[in-house]
Amino acid sequence: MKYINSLLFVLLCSAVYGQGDADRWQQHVNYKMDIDMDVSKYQYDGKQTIEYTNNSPDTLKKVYYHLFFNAFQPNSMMDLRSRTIVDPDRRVSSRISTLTPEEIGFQQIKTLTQDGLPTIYKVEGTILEVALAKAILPGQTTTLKMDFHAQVPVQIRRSGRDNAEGVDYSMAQWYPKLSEYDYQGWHANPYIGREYYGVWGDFDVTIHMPKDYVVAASGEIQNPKEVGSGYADNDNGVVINDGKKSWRFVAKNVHDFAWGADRDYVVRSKRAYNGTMMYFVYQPGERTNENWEKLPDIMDAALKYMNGRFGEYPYPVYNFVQGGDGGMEYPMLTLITGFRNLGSLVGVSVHEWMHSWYQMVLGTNESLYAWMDEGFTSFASAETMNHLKQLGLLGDSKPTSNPFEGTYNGYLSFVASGQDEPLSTHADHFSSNRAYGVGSYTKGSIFLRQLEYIMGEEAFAKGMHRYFNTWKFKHPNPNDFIRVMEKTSGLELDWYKEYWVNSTHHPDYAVYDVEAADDGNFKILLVNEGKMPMPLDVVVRYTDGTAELFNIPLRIMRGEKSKDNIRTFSYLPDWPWTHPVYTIEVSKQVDKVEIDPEFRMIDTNRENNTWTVGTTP
Amino acid sequence: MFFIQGRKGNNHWGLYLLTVFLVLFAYSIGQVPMMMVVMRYLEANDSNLSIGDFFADPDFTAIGMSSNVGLFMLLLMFVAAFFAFWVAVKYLHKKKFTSLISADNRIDLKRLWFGFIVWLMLMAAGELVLYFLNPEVYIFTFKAETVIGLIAISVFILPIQTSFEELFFRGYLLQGFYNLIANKWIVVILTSLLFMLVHGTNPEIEQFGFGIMMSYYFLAGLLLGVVTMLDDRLELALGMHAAMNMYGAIFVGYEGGVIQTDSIWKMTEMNALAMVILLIVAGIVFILLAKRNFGWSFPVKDDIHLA
Repeated sequence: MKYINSLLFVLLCSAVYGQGDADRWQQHVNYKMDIDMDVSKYQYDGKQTIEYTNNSPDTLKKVYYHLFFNAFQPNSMMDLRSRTIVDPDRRVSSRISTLTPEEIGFQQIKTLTQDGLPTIYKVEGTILEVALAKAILPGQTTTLKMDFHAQVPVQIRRSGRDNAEGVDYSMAQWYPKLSEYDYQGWHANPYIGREYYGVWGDFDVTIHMPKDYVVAASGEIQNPKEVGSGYADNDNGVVINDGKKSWRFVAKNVHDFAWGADRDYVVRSKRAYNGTMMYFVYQPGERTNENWEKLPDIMDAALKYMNGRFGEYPYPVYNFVQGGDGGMEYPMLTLITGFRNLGSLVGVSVHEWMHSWYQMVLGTNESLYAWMDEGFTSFASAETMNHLKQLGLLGDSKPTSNPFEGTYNGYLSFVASGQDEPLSTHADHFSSNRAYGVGSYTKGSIFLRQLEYIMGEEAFAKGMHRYFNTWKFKHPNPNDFIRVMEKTSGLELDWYKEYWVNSTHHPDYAVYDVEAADDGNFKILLVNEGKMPMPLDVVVRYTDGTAELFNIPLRIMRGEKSKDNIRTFSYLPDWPWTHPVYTIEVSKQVDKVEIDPEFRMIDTNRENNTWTVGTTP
Repeated sequence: MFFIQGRKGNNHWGLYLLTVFLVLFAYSIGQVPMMMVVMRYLEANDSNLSIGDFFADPDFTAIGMSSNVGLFMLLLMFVAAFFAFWVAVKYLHKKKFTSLISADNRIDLKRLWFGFIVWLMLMAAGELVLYFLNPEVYIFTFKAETVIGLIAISVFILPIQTSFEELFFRGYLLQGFYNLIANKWIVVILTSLLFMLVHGTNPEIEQFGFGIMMSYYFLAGLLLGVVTMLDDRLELALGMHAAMNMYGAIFVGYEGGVIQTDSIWKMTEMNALAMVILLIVAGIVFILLAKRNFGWSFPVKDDIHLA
């Protein structure tokens, strides 16, 4: 019944608001690639055919490609940035500067034609600039054919060969990838550190690898019988000419494609409760077996929760693949390191899969709004992990009433360090890696948690579904998100976005004092000592042992939060943010007053949030 | 918000003047019973002392009075003053009397006891140091026959005096001045000066010297005022002041003091400078202990003014 209700709700939403904004068009691209790997040199030849449809109202005379592997060359932008930033990622540091010609990565263009005509192109670091033979008019489709030659760098960051755990190939950012053109123009961001943005379309990729390799990739395997290896019963598969096997994968409606290959991989699979196929691809061994074998059942339970709380995962498969240097998300696949304890393995698996909602399906521009991907994903994975703990699936790990307490405290100490930067900063432009990390993962998840506090839990949960269903495959920006939340809650929430995203202002509220009034009542005086206004939950305990929960809406919200789980509020008059002092009048002798007792709001000084007898202002 | 409580009720300057006058009047009336009794004793003993001479060194036993009766009579004037003060606050100013104690009109007993007990212990500790420095000035004067009465008066009547002083100086006047000068430090210093001045007729002044005794009274007032300012309520000062006077009355008195009782010990010689130093050291220790216990925050901010 609940399922039907939410379905009905989704239908209703898509009927009324399903269009997103009218001026938001999407380019479309289909990739067909044939990859032949020479494992003796770690090099491969690629034949790529792209069908590119210009759905924009603009005539395109140029296109751009990303050549990510070129970043792994001494003196690249990535190398210099890593060597000059205050807190380099230890996986990168100065390692790129010492790579030999055999160890670097490259993607070389051999030929590039448009509808059979030659193009003029230029490689500048990680960006390929292409002057088209003929302009693509609005609504037109063009075919770009490319032959390229590439070398897989030693594993530095996210992709490469021979990672720390001995996985041969972690293949991400491995092909010339068309840059996205949207309502904000071209996004030909050089590869410096982070992150990705792309055009949705279908990928049809055939990979020729020596027969002793097992390949896992984004999308569905098209020839399971030929490859065997856990994809079909006949484990050996079919070996074609020159001792190689061909692996064909098709991934539909994705904006990227990644794969991994190793001679020791095993492929385990489990069909989740709703039919989604899950693959677990790893090197069996002492440091993997025990926890990787527990993973399928746990991820089944996780998917059920994720689908219910954040919207339905739309793809047919998902691959958990051992590889890379931590955890990195790709469509229908994640590359994660495998030597982990259970909590960490599940944590990274949940987090990376959760990216499917915010990065793969919604596809927010991660360079401009990393927090809408990393932050929202962190928020959703924290809730999912807490749910798994509630189910008792994570051993002794106990669920907590506030899974964000650590995140909040971490952020508050970061704020105290003075390094906080506005969320509107471009992902590569933060002053330090730490500022980016906090500014995306931490501050982004706090953005949602506080929004839940502002809107109330019920409207927030509806809003998250509505956001997913309204904006899937449409690259939403911060305004798109907040508009959905406004429509769902009936509140004005732009102020919240403006303060939290465009500034580094923070709330700091205080219970100033309690004063007896002449008429026998008591006045509770609250003071706004911060630079960012917020609505307040305030608990007042009386000397007779009773308590009352008040909500003070912010006047610029033009309303108040609706149902907030089991909490029952007495709503007080609005607080206009210009007024430093607010008075709550109560009739009973006050024993204790506390602002936001559940710690759902960031408050840079929480010591003054509580008043008991004798608290001095 | 304690300081700003003074804005409540009627606050015409004339009412303050009237209240001070009424309190002084009641204080004088309160002395009449004692005067009458003392005069009768003087006459009965055929003493050639005038009443003025007597109060320069008020030793009730010297004229055949019980020291407890003398103490009781002496304290009566504060009972009268307290009563007049209470009437004035309630019916002239139309203020809640408890607004002189805290902003939320609550009396926090924990703080009352903290002020009382901690101060009592600090005095005792300081006295112990003085004793080891100079033991011969202490004499044991315990009198079993009067001790019960002394304790009863000290516990039940003496706090009326000390509370009156606190409520009047650290409550009423402090809040009243804050209406004129919205600066806590200035108001605390001002009330401490007044507190010092009203003690200017005490017989100790003549005995130990004007400068040293005046600084003692000023510092005592300042300590009580600062504690009140930091805690933003009056209970601690009420407790401390009660402890100060009770200590002198019951445990260690000294000859020539304003209150002569049958205390358990007496000092034959009083080092006023040591007394001032003891007050300063104990005061600092008290503030540090209370800061830890009640989480006081520095610096002191002035109360916000609500429109």
